Amino acid sequence: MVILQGISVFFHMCVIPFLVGCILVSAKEAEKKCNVAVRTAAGLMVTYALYEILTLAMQLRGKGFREVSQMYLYIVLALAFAGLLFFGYEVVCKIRGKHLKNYLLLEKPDGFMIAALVLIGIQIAAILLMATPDKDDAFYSGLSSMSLSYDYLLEYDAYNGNMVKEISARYKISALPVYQAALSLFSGLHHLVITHNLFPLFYMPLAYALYDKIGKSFLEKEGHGKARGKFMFAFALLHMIGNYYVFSPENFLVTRIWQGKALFAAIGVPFLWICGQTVFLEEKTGIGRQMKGWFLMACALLACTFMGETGLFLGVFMVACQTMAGCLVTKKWWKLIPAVLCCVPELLIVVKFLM
Amino acid sequence: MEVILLFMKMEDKYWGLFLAALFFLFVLCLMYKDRDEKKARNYLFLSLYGVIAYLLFLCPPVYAAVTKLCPQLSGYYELSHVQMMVPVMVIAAVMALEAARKEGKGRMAGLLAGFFVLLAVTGDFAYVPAEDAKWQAECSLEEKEVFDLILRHAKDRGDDGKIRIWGMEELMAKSRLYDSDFQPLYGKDIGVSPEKYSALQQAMYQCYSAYDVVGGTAINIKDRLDALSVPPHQYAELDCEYVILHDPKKQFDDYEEFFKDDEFDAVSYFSALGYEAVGRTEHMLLFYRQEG
Repeated sequence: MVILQGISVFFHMCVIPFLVGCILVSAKEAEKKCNVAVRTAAGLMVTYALYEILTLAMQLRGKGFREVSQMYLYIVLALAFAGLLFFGYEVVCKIRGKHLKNYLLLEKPDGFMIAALVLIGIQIAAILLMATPDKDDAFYSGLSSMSLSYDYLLEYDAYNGNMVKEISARYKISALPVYQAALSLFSGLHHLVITHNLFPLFYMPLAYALYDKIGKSFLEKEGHGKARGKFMFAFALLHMIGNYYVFSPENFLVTRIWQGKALFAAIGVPFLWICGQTVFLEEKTGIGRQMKGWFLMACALLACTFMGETGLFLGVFMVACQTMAGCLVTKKWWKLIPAVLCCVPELLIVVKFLM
Repeated sequence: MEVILLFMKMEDKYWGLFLAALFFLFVLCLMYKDRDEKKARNYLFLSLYGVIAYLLFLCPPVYAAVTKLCPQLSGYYELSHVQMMVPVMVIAAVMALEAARKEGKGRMAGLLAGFFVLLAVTGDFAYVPAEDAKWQAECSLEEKEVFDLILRHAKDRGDDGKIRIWGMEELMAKSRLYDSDFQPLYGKDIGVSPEKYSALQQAMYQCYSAYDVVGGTAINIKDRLDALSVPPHQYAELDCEYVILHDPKKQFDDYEEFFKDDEFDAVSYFSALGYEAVGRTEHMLLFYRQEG
């Protein structure tokens, strides 16, 4: 039974996002390699954005957690089916037999990359076997429990179980605890098992893979192809010994990835960076690919809001900095317009919920 | 002045290294300009982004605007992931290594050693949070007294293993920092036994709702209920050896008024549940579950 529940959660946390990502991360880009990490992260951003929109809309209409989750499930399954068609078409028609092996297999790792993978494995083992969550975590799990037990949609504060106190506005905009409850609802597995065990197990490798993608864009072909391995090794090592204060980046990625702020730092930030590189720096791209890039950036910003108020403000801050840097580098000032349009949903959320 | 102090306090330990890395990336951009334009633009984009983000984070009016709009964000304002601090430093370090490798092994070894000395001096191991020492120092004399009571009791009965305890939320958090033998029933244990947790949590909600006295504010209800931590009848279901409880009679000046209709005698309650009172401090009671 537990195995079936585990498979079900894996399907919702990894397979569905990957398939949804197949719609938006194009086959042309993925011709040489499958690019699983970027596709999965793109799919996660779309599904998170979808859940965020549904949660906010249903909060305003006074609906409950189960109704939101049911609607989300129908839409996301339809998207995943469309993604499956895209993926199938890509494998059968574009990749064909001679490229298939190259397409599916990972690159052969060098010594540094193997050492980096060992370090990442140690980090995941440490968080699975040694971590003891604090009372901040009890609040988030309390919100998930309340959704499951009472069909609440971020209505009451879960601190100390006091149900008569209305939740603060800043928590109303962050649907992550409710989404974690939805994963529990879909799979039957307890949400604490999902958050404390499966989030680190699935998403820490994803976070490192996204940072590897960033490293690759700068270090490819450097050092006879071994610079990437060195990057990942130093990056993983720094995350183990960089906990110099409670908000340091290292702390967020390796010790509490199930919380919104940490998920933002681990997956939101590198994905926004990859989006920025795509929309600002890639020149030889068609209008369709450009539109997809901007759409993904808008989804990523909504997904950052889904992860919490920190993600809302700092996500927009990050896009603003990228826009300034991108426009200065490329001298294409018209890109200010789509960048601003991407931030409009966040502005509306701030006006409606936080002011 | 306060804003400047805040920035000084929150300033990242790696800031010097980060700025040096940004400068190095800019130099790389100039070096690649003729050889590989795409890569040069990538480096320029990253170094410009880093400088802009760094300056904006450092700019007091931006900080003032953001925290006015969202006061809670002050704590997370300088979340240095957003500055891409770690990737910038590591990319610069790797590129410096590659450059030094071409120059000779001696320089490469020196650079590598310098990099790791900086990391070792400025970093802490992530799995030993920096606040641990602070928390430990914040243990009051009475909290230390109750922890010592438990440790002494466990030692007297020849128990060298883990000591499972349940108590006030903050006390449990402090216990695991005070001595590694303490194993509070919290978080991970709850994750391993979800059925038990769900049942307990729902019972807690019901109990707390029942205490919603007319005219009481949320804050004073919370303070009073902290004294109980969980409904007493749930203690028997918890697999723990020690329970620490605030003595309600000592905790509240208006105890008689608050509990006039619902007398709470901790010792009787826990005796009935198979616990015996094994010690007390000024404000806390300690119970031990009798075996068998």
